[in-house]
Amino acid sequence: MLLKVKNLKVFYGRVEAVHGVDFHVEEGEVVTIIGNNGAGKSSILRAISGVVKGVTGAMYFNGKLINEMNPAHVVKLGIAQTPEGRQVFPDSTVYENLIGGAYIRSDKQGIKDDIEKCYDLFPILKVRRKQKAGLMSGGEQQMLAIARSLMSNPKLLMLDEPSLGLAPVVVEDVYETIAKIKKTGTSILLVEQNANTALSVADRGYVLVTGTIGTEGTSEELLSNDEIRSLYMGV
Amino acid sequence: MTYFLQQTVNGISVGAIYAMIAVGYSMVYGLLYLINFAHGDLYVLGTFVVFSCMTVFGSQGFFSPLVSCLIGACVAGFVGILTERFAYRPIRSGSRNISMVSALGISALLKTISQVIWGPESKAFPSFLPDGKIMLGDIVLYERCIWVVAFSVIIIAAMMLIVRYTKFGRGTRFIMQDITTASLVGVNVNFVVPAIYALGGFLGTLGGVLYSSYYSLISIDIGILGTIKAWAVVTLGGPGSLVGCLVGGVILGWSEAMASSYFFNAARDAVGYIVIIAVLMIRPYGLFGKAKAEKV
Ligand SMILES: Nc1ncnc2c1ncn2[C@@H]1O[C@H](COP(=O)(O)OP(=O)(O)O)[C@@H](O)[C@H]1O
Ligand SMILES: [Mg+2]
Repeated sequence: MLLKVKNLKVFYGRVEAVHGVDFHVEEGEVVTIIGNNGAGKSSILRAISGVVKGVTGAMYFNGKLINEMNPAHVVKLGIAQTPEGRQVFPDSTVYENLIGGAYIRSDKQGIKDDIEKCYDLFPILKVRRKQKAGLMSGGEQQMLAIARSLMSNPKLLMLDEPSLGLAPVVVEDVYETIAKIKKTGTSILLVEQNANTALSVADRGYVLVTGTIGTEGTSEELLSNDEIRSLYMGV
Repeated sequence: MTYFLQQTVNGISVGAIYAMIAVGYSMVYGLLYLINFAHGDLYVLGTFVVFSCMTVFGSQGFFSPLVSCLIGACVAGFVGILTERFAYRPIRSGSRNISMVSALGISALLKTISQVIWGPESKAFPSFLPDGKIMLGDIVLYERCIWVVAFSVIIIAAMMLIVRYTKFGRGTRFIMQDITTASLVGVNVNFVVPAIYALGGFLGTLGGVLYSSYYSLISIDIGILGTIKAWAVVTLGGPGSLVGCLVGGVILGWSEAMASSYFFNAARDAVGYIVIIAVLMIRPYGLFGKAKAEKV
């Protein structure tokens, strides 16, 4: 098992935002956590990455306990997070952003090769490589943020609402790319409000309701679950 | 005309010193949006340590002042690290107001420590800058002016190279853009931030030594003066910009020199603010600053 999370609770001050969740991600799997705004999806990813402290429960990556590890160490172990809201470095160029994604690496040739791979996967980034990231469109920034995470060569890629605030056509582009990344064998933990889209690429999913996981199952099961269809897909 | 050029030379020298003092303040502000009130008290502490070392080792020659400067700068750097670790890091995720109160507290603490050890009165600082002068027509070019400017420019240029071309510098630039995202790509924030505090104390002390050598005087009051000048330089030049420090420092030093020689001495401190207001009306983020979304 690549990632195993047991009874995770996340606190902000005295407020408990995530109330003891259990889930796991197998090697090569795409797993999604679906939930409305404020359900605690980002909090879970921040806890795994080590940017929120004071969490309880246990998080194992490749069998290793990663609670309270500092974020740089987590990246080194092979977990990369693309945070929500397209957080690129706006004053740096596209190329500098990509190099930044490889911050923990020192294999120059490997980094060079991976940049070329990113350009193959996201051709627009090659066109824009000398442009300041902050000047690109929302969809392009989202692509860059994902590409930057890939530059650390992660075993597990965590995506926080990659469809947020993007036009439907652009969402399609982004998800096509996520499907391509899935094909390369990288495991993905995908967090979304947009259940339909997320389940279209995921193998399994969990439904998070105000800090607690309710339903879980394969994507087919969740897609045919009437309650979920009415709550998250407006059907 | 001669008088004008003469004052320009003096102003630029003082401005170069301001620039050195401002580097640490600027970097901390650029990284964390934190007004570091303790910056001035930190570099005074370092400068006093240099002063004491020179009292012990002597201030003649080349070697003893150099060693004294390194010791003082390292002490200030180390105190900078401690300050970050115990006064700022625990509240880094809190509001900026809390950090400011903490910075004020550290400022008072450091100032008290220096005052207890070295006393409140000002002392003659052994100047190790060369005393000679060069005549350029009617203008007297003091050798120490050349040294001061050269030293500042070299140190700041070296810092620029570090920020531009090293991994540490890249981490610094990423943190300046977004501290959380920087940590998510693997920048070790808990290494880079204290290192910047250390550099601030280190370079600030070198600036303090230049200042005290230039005026042959050291006093506890150059602490608050340094914080104010650093604030002015950084507001002019733009937070986090090293070129901004140099240009902002020189503009400030030069306008002060002009004000005190063409108006009256007390106009000196006021003119800085007038220049700042003028610059901010045209460029709200300083000459080399970048607009950046305010953190809430
Ligand atoms: N920095 C924070 N401080 C205090 N409360 C927070 C903070 N971040 C999130 N929360 C709260 O935690 C809950 C979960 O938020 P979040 O994890 O961002 O949800 P989601 O990503 O699912 O929209 C929300 O009620 C939110 O208000
Ligand atoms: Mg969220």
